[in-house]
Amino acid sequence: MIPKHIAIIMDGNRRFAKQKYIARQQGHMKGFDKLTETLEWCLDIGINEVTVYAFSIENFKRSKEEVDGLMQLLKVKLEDLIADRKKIEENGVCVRALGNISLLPPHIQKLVAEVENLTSGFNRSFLNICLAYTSREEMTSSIKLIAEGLAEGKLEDSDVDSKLIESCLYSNSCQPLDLLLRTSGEVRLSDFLLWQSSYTLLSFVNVLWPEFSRWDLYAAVLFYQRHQGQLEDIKRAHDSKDTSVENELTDDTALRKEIFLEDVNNKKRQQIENLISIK
Amino acid sequence: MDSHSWLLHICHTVITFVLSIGSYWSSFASKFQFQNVTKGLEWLPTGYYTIPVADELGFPGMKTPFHLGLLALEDTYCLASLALVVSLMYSIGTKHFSVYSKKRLTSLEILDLEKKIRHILSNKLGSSNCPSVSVHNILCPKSTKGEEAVELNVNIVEPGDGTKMLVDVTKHIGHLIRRGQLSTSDVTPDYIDKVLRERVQCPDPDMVLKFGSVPSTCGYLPWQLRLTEIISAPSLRDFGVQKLQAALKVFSKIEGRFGK
Repeated sequence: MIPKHIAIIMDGNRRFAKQKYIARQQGHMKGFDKLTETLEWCLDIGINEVTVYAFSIENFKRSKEEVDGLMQLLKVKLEDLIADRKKIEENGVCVRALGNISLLPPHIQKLVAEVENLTSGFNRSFLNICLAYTSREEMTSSIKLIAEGLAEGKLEDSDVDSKLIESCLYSNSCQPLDLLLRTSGEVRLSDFLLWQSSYTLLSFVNVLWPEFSRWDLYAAVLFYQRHQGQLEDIKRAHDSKDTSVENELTDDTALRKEIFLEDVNNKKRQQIENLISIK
Repeated sequence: MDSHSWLLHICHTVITFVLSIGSYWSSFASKFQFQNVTKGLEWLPTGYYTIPVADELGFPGMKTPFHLGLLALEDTYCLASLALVVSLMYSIGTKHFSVYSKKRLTSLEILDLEKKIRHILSNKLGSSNCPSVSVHNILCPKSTKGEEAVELNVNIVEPGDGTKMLVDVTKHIGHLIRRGQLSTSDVTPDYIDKVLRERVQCPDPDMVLKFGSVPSTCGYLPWQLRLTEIISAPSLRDFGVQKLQAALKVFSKIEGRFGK
């Protein structure tokens, strides 16, 4: 049994650079290269969705030099993706950006939109890149959308439940998360996928991200296979007690929610189209 | 099945076999220890519990969490052990706790937990110095108006509480926007955090101690877990001073970077 969707906090680029006496920027470059390798290993063993924490909103607090360097690296990698269209087509990779993209520099926003648009038709594998992302910002954005819907009369109080909040998260079209992996030995989630990882296996690996190997990935898969059954049992027991999910959906509620969510998704698509049309 | 899948399949079979021998032995060993530990704690009369002095638990450079989350994810565990951990941590300065378990605690068990904490602390500190203890559901914090301030706050968290509080906040914000009392642009993570803190009346947990073999937080307070250090221990059954000290050493060594 192979996990279908894994998420990775790629931590340790800067510590790696320090250990190897190389520049920080080079550490980040090694990290990006490791991501490409890891995605190939994932495809090899049947993991068809990967979500990575590439750039947190908190990372804007880093020095201007480091933030500019990361944006430059991101620009190069996004341009490579667009140029390497054939490889994307071969693997049927759909690339999605999760986060508050409006916080990124305009030229990066446009590139992100182009990549999303270019790959939106593929569905064999998925790469979700969290950019200008924190989980609290994601939950806030969902809460804000729903609260506006309530204020405008598009939704009623009884329509609001945890499922609706989940449907308005940036990750609304992703599969359920099976495994969250963090490198560098840190044991916290650092504001990453807090909602989605509620019932997910957490694997904290004591290796710096640029040193992550195929064997570390296999070990994580074995870890998943060993514990997944236990987690399913707990989830089943808890689901029966969870009162934040509506048990009965009336036709009216279901219809209102459907129209509301369609509206939310249309706005998202419109944003991408607007960004692409900017010259 | 390709070569990688075969390799994984073989590794999984070998490791499962080794682990099954290990878990058989550990279940035998833990049963043996469980009887020794819990018999005394469960059946001896009030005043039995002894609490080691803070000096015994403390060490140079120790960091104390403000809010400790206790995730009891084992099939069975004993309330006395939970009460002992709470009391020990109170003795070194932690005032807020949250307890989340695999099995829902009944109201009788919640009362029993409060009684056990009071017993341990009165025994150690004397009844006149025993702090005011409140054990309650996280969604119904006790009002302190006109009452003595709570010095030891234990929040019981149930499955779904973490998402339910966000559902309630969403409805509340919707009402405020509709009445023109709040602008959409004011709805920020800081604003939501402020509303939630007013409701639950405790800070975010800075440390979680997770007991049991399941490596997951299993639905415990998603919003509040943002920067929490998650430290795991195999079992609550034999979790004494030394193991608590080891966990605190791990916590004290961690340096939060907050994205910088």
